[in-house]
Amino acid sequence: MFNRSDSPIPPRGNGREETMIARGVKVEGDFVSEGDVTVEGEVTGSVRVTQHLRVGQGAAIRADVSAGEAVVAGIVQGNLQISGTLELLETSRVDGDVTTKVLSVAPGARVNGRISMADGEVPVSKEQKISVG
Amino acid sequence: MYLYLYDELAQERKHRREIFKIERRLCDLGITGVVERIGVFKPALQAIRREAKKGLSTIVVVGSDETIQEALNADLPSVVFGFIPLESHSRLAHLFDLPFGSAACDVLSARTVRTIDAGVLNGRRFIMGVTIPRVRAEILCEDRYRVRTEGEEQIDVFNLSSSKSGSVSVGDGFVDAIVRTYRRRWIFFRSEQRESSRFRLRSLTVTVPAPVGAFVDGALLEASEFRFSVAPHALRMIAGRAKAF
Repeated sequence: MFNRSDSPIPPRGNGREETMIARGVKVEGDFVSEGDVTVEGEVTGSVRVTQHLRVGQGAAIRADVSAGEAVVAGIVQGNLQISGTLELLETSRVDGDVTTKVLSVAPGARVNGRISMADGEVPVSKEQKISVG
Repeated sequence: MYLYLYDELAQERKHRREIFKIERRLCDLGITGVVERIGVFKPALQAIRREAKKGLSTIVVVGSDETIQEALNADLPSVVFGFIPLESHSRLAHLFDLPFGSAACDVLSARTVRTIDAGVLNGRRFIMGVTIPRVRAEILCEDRYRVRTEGEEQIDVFNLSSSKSGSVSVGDGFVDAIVRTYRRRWIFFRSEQRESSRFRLRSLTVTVPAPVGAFVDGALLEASEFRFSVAPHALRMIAGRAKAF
């Protein structure tokens, strides 16, 4: 989990309720959450998170993703649409187009797709086409 | 009008003295009402429905957690529920900060009413949570997505969920589903590593291949399909000042 010492992503200390998809767990379908979400397992289908999304080092998301903010250390195969800040850590790999307002890319992070930087707020789509990987 | 439901525990000989103290204290506080003695042949819901026709403002269960949980299934949104616990280890008494026996009469009299969500499992309400034992299950969340695991999982569904900060959420319209999975690992010997996933949901269906016993607020319920939902702000309970939420 993220609070382990080997995790590259520091835990969020704001005490907000959060959804956690643990290692070894696979979520299939239209995943929607109004709170913070941490993914350590696998998600296929579509992902819509209104708050903060964290994708752990061993995690894999095969879906189009929209979120308020995101920190990625794992694999995302699909388009990323982030209305706030997107942070790609050194172990991350994104195969898809990225749309975000603020972008931070660590050395070693891999992005295979177009990157669009929006001036204003990036609209987080309510309905997305599901791309199953 | 107040309705007092004395369950089988309250009718036991060992509680006779405490019942006398309760009745005297209720009289002093001016909150006496109709007393119904319930049991196997006279269920709580039957007594409540009969008295509800006469007009009820408050239903007070005197006895055990199980009885108050049964009484809460009465679909009476305007009625306030109270509880006088006669079990020393009552979990609901701890949650609502209700002292044992006659001391709870003062809490009833102070009438601090809290509105809380009710969890619903297969049409039956619960307050705290449900535990489905370790089994291979199919989990469908809000009819939108499925949660799959590699092996068996234990599923806990909480209506009143506690956060990291220690606060308990009672009226957010969600249940929290904790899915505990077990991963087998070989190092020098076989060991199991437990991982927990957490989902905040408005509805959830858990299907298991054969009927299993689940614990609903401590009471056993056997089923092969567990359909969870939330009845938002469905319960009005009298609670003490130092309640857990």
